[in-house]
Amino acid sequence: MDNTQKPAWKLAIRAILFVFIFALLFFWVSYLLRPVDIYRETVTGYYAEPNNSLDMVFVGGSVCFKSWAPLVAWDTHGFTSYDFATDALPPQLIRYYVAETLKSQSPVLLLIDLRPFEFGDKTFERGIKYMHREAALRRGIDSFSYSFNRLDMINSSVPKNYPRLQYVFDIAKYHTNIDKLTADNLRYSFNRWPSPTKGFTILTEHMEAVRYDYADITETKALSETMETLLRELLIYLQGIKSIQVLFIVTPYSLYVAEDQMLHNEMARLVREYGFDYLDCNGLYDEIGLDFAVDYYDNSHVNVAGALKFTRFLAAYLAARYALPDRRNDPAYETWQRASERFATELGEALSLLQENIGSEGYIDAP
Amino acid sequence: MDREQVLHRVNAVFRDIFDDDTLAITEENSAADIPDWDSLTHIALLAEIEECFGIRFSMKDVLGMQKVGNLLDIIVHHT
Amino acid sequence: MNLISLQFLVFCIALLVLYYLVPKRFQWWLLLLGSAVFFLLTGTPYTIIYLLISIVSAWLAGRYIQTQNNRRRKRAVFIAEIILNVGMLAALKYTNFLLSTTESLVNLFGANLSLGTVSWVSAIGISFYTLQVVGYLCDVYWGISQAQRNPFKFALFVSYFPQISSGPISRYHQLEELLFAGHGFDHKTVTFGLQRMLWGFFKKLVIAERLTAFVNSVYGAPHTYQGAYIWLGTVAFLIQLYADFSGNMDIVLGLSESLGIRLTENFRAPLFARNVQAFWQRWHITLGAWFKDYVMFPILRSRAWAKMGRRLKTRFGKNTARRIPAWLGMLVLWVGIGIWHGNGWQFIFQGLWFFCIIVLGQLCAPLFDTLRRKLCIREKSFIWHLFQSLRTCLLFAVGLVFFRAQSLNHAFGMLFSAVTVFNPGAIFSVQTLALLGGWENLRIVLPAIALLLFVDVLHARGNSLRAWAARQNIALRWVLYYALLFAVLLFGMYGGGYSPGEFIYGGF
Repeated sequence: MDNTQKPAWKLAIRAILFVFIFALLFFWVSYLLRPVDIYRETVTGYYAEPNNSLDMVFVGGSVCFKSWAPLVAWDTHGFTSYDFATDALPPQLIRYYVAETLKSQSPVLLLIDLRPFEFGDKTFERGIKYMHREAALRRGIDSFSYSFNRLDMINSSVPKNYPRLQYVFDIAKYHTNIDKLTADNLRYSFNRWPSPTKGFTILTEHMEAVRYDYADITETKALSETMETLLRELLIYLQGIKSIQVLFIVTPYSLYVAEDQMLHNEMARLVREYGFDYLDCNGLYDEIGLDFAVDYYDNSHVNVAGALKFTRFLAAYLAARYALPDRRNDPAYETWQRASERFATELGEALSLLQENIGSEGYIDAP
Repeated sequence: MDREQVLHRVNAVFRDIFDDDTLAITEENSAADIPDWDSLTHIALLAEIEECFGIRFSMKDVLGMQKVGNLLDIIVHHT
Repeated sequence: MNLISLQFLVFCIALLVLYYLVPKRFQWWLLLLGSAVFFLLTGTPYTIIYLLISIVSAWLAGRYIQTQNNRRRKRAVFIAEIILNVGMLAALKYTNFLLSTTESLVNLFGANLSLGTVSWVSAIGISFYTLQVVGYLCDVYWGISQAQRNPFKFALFVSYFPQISSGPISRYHQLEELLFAGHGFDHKTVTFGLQRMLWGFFKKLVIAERLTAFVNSVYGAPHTYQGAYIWLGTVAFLIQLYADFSGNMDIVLGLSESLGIRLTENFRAPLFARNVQAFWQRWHITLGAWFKDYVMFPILRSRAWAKMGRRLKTRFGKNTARRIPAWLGMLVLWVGIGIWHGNGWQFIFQGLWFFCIIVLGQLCAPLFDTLRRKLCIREKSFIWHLFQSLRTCLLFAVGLVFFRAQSLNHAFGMLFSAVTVFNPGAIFSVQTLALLGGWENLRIVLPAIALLLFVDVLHARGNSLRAWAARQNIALRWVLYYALLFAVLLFGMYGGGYSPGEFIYGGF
């Protein structure tokens, strides 16, 4: 069979087909080789949610998926939500997470965690800022499915002197995983797999945290120039999105630096300047019912008991203020009901385990 | 001098250089056919042939020889 | 622009597409433009001045030599132009070597001279394109080729980007027809070329890169790794160099093939050569051929050599008269090749080593033949061929020690250690396994090497894998292509903070 005698259009079609199949295989293999961990599961779980099925999406860093338990909110108020967040999310990525959300969901409410703006500009180590940490960037970027949004995210978030191409084609970093493939890798090879907890991570260890009451501090402290610019950009971007409400939130934690409260006040001012809502949970420990001796996992994050309290409180708060539907009797959302029942069992077990840990006391290193 | 005679005399030189009295080269032979025919013996060969026929090869001739046939062409050209 | 980079791939694809879109008579202009872009993006841009000097002066000289009738003037311009080009190469590449050698020599007599070093950046591929230019001048001077009338066409010949940074070193008359002719799109040519490039990437990324760490460890700390390590490290280097260099050739030749321009092969299953002389006719073929045609032959045919031959004949007889001048000529060739490889005494020793081995080989050939006959082994038998190949590779590997070691002293030290330190068990130690990258690395690189040897055997027997694949049905074909593509993507060493090693001959 002499190929040179085939008509040009046939060869062209073949070439295009070859490249097209290669691209599909390439994406699949890239997904196959990505590491499987809780950060990836959060994102792949998000993609597995049916289109336009989420009423609220919580975007931000680790406080999101460690504090807000979507299935508890379903249980109490019947609205659907998801923790679309990854560990130490660099603040410049938030707007791309919002954009990614809007691609397949049309939530009533967008909940945005403001903590990333607090520490983003601080130096982590060796002159590298938190917002430029490779590990944090990769956690935030790598799990995304291939898309132009992901490309934009990389172009604007990854510093120029980093090997950006290896972020775009993360196979460059992960191809050595070929040796360590497991059944899990196969399961996640289409980059979507339902998360039974809707993105939430159950933490069963505890630490005796200290409660600081700085709620009466009203002074503000300016954010760094980079952070303020970033936050303003995000706010302007959000202003351009119609038919969605946004609430900026600071979750309750051990506020060991009083200045941070001043930063919160400043962020509140900025957020309100653009007409958005703001909630600082750090004046509401009693309302939430938090006991710093047992409800905390570390200084920044609540454990499962704290999350339970926090979610109940916030769900009520949100249901009262925003038009969040109650879907508990909606047959289309039956999967949520079942998920909630399964979660209830898991929750029960987790709380018992936590109780044991509290009894035996001590702080166990974070996973 | 015709080609046959040239070939005959060239063959004699080959026999001498390669120390093999049974050698009978043809126009199609090249360095691949005789194991000891490397670049060094090639030069020695050409020197002997020059002396034998009283001619002088140019560098163009030397580099242009792929097979015995080329060699004969060049010899005939020079004589 | 590293050959292993997305930048290069994009460049190739863009060029290929444009090449077959432009009218045929503009194709060589596109190649010239591409070569200029390639040169400027690889290495330091201002060094293009050296390339331009070579091109312009050689073009003018070529035209002058072609049209001039006066023999004296022709010769003068010819020699002057060679001196200019070789001089530039020498100045840029060997100044530090000359300075340090002079320093050492003078200081032997008690002086305390310190000449310092220069840090001149040489042009990419200067070692390669200089040879090509000098070859062209000789061809014109000797009447083998007509001087190129068009300076831009000549510029393309000298700077043709697939071959400028790593060869092959082409002859003008070979390249002339193909380079400037128009090439219509031929599906087979393009796809075969691309497949060859893919194979080159496989060799570089899956084999050569995976051996780099081990070779670097051994050669980086030869006092720590003695005896058997040096053997193993050198064998690894032989395979690494072969995979890297021939892989480069596959990429370069494949790219050029897909443009319709077939360049000469630089490798022809060298690991199966039966003796070192034959090895060098299969390894870096165009280099050996260039030195043979443009250095050794002119020397052997010079008046001085003829005189020497005659004197020896009267004194020592015909055989000696033939051998001595021949060997002296070959000595010049090998010293030349040694010098070409690098600016240090170790490279000259490398050349000398091969010279000695080849001469010894010729002298000992009858001995080995007797040995073989006594052992009743047939000459064409596999076992004899295997013995010869292994012996050849070993001897070549010794030469490589000079090439790869940090200095001449290190090279001698390593060779000494290799024969005096007896620790064969070290090869099987846990430490060695770790240095080799563990089983994770070995279980990929060893099968890859086996595949490489298998393909070489097939090619040596005249089979064309690409043609065979093209005859299979489309599904099988595509599975094979995807398999190779993903083998490179998954098993290649790249990315993740790892930068592919610079092409070993890249500083040339």
